[in-house]
Amino acid sequence: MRLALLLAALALLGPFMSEYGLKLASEALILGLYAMAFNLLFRQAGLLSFGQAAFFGLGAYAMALLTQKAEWPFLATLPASLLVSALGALIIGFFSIRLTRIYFTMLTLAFAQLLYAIAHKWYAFTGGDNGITDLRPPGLLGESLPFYYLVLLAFALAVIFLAALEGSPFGYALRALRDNRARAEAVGIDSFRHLLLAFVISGGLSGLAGFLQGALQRSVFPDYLFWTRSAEAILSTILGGSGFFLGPAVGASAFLLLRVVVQAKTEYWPFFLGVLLLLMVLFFPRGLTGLALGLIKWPTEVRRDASGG
Amino acid sequence: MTLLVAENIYRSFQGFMALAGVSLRVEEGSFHALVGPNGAGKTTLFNVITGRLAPDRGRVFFQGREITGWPTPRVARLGLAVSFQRAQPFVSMTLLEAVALARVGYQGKTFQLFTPLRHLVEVLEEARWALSKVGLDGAAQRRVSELPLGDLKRLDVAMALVARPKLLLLDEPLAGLSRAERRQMVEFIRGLLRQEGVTLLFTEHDTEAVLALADRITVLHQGQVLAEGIPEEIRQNAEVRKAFLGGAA
Amino acid sequence: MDIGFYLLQLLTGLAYASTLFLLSVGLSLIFGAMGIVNFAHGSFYMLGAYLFYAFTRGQVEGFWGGLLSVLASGLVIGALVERLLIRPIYARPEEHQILLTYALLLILEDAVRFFFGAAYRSFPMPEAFSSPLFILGSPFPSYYLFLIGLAALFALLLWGFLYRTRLGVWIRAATQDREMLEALGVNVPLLYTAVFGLGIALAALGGAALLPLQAATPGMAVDAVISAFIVVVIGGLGSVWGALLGAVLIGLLQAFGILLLPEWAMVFPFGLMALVLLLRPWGLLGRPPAVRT
Repeated sequence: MRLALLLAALALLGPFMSEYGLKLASEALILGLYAMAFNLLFRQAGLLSFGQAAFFGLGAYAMALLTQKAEWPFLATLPASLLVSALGALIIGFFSIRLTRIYFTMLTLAFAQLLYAIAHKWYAFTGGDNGITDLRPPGLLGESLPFYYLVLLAFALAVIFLAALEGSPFGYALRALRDNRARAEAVGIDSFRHLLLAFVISGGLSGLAGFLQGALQRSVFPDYLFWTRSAEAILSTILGGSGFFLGPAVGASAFLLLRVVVQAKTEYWPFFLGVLLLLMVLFFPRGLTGLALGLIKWPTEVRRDASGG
Repeated sequence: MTLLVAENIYRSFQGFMALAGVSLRVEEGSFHALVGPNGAGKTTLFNVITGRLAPDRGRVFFQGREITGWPTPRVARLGLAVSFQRAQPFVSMTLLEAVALARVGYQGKTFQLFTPLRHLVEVLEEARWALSKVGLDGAAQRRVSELPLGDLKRLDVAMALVARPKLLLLDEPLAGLSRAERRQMVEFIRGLLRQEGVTLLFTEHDTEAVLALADRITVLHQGQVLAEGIPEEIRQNAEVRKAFLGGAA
Repeated sequence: MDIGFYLLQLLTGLAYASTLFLLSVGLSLIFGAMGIVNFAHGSFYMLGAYLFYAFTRGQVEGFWGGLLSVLASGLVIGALVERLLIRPIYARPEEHQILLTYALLLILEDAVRFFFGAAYRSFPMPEAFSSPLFILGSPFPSYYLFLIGLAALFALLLWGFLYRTRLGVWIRAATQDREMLEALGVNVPLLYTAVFGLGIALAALGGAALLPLQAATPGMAVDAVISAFIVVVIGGLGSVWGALLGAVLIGLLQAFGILLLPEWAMVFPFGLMALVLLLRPWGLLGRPPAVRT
């Protein structure tokens, strides 16, 4: 219910935001969606993926290539983006999920970099470094406010879907696999198939985020597939707190704000990111949300002690 | 009828022969004990039966159907439930959730993405039933992480019981329990499982418990079957005595 | 058939394999003994190249001294990083450890850019290796032989260290059973510092040794760690000989793959890795897990 209120508030704020505000808000929602897709794997399934950029980029490129080369209408490319990124996740997941979690993490990074290299080299198809530009969605969606509502709608649907997943038998099965894989298998849960499905869902949602980002930015470049793009999902999640359902979305907003501020002062944004991640892991593993909740609880605990209860 | 047949199982680990031609038959409705000193191969045999390990040689049949080398989830969905020695079930869930999930797992219905688990009435009823059988229904809403060790074992048994299994495998059900808890567990197993008509195959070190519970005993020693028969026969078997004097319990 | 041509390709492959070995063996050891996947491993490889450049100031006379300095620096830096950053999170879930080394990757990437700029840094070929060696009448870059010799030397030294010294035996024991080591009273944290330092030192040396052949760029860290990982997956995580085998296989695959399909040669290592994962997921020389989980 709180979720519905939040979404409604975001919807109502729309007309009051400036051009720049709408663009920033759209980007925050897109990044939030992307981070929540990452966290489906990380929190529910216990899988740390360093290669979500692969699916983000696949979604973006599917949209870009179909609108520009095949002249598809913009919205028609949405199912294609979802399909391509989910398919990519199916293939990559098939190889990556086979063994221990550590292999998984490294393989996802490797495969994503491979896709980046291919996008970079295949000049004829992807335009290489020049990317695919001039991707303005036609008609109403080319304007900031309507586009913002599209993004908000996508975000809302994805979040509702993820929330439903969490309470479903599938969500429980994932958490069971994460808690104790052997025990989960002994009650009939096939780890490979469940994890693969989670990976495909996560990939599809990442592709949705890529689709939206490409339209927002009006262009798609190989860097959509670069490993630092995967880092954005991870950082947003860790920053916001992976243990909380909306943590990644909260973290994404914080992340974006930070980036705007830091990039205005220096070009060494990855360095700053790394230091931030380092500090978070060492000192604040529960993220901002955890920190905030901790601060909220603290006064009540103090009060309880004082009253002798 | 014979519920489970393990035929001539061989399994080695990097040169160490854990099982060297072990055969076992478990009859429906019986309580069959698998005993032997540490390292005799009991857990390895369990792992082969449940699919955690593939045998180098030999075959396993369940209800006449060959299940050699089947992965664990597939074996579980056939109605062969197992409870582990070190019970560490799903700490992020409540007891009810854990057992309910187990039920859904055994049914093979975990790919439901949109229906909340808490709306699956039949599943929840079965879960509550299993919890009440092990005496944990009062704690259904508590988190697994809060349970003491003795209760964890009972939860684990509930998770196996909710499958309404044909065959239940218990790996050292009394391990880590106090004397009083052991007696309780033996009573519980005897009462409960007889009532439900569950066939039981269990490993155990505690000779007293074994003799109290088992209809049939298979003695393993150094990866081979040393003796097999009813408790009386085993108790009087000289070779078994020798092996046990050297082993634990 | 021009034997000389194929011999050259073979040598090229082996030379590449040599730097891959130095890069990868540390990753394998660190994972085997400590259970940590060092995502920053390629960053130290890169750092080795840049430090080599910095120590020698690009002057060819500093070649030998530079290599030794990089090796020593690698040991020190590795030990410091382990002590200050890794030790606090021994007990944490492995995701935290992975994220930490990932953070290091981000930091070092930009740090190098900050200190050295984004331009390529290269190093001239030393006098000793500038003239080609003639085998069967064909010329071969003698630096390739130096690299192969360097890798062979360190493989041998590593073998001696791991099998003949007490510390080495403990490290090998750690790759098999960490808990037992503690029970035996071995100072495990110190052991970890040593392993990490050693792994980083070898990676740094590999990066440095590569410099006369290939310029250093800040972007080389990620590609390096991925290559190292591919080698280690193929050879078996935790196995030193696996790292050697994996490095040789990838080196040769690259060298001959470029002849067949130059544009797509970069995909071949992935192909081989995928094959190994399908058929023998614990690596060619790795140990299969005891229980199927």
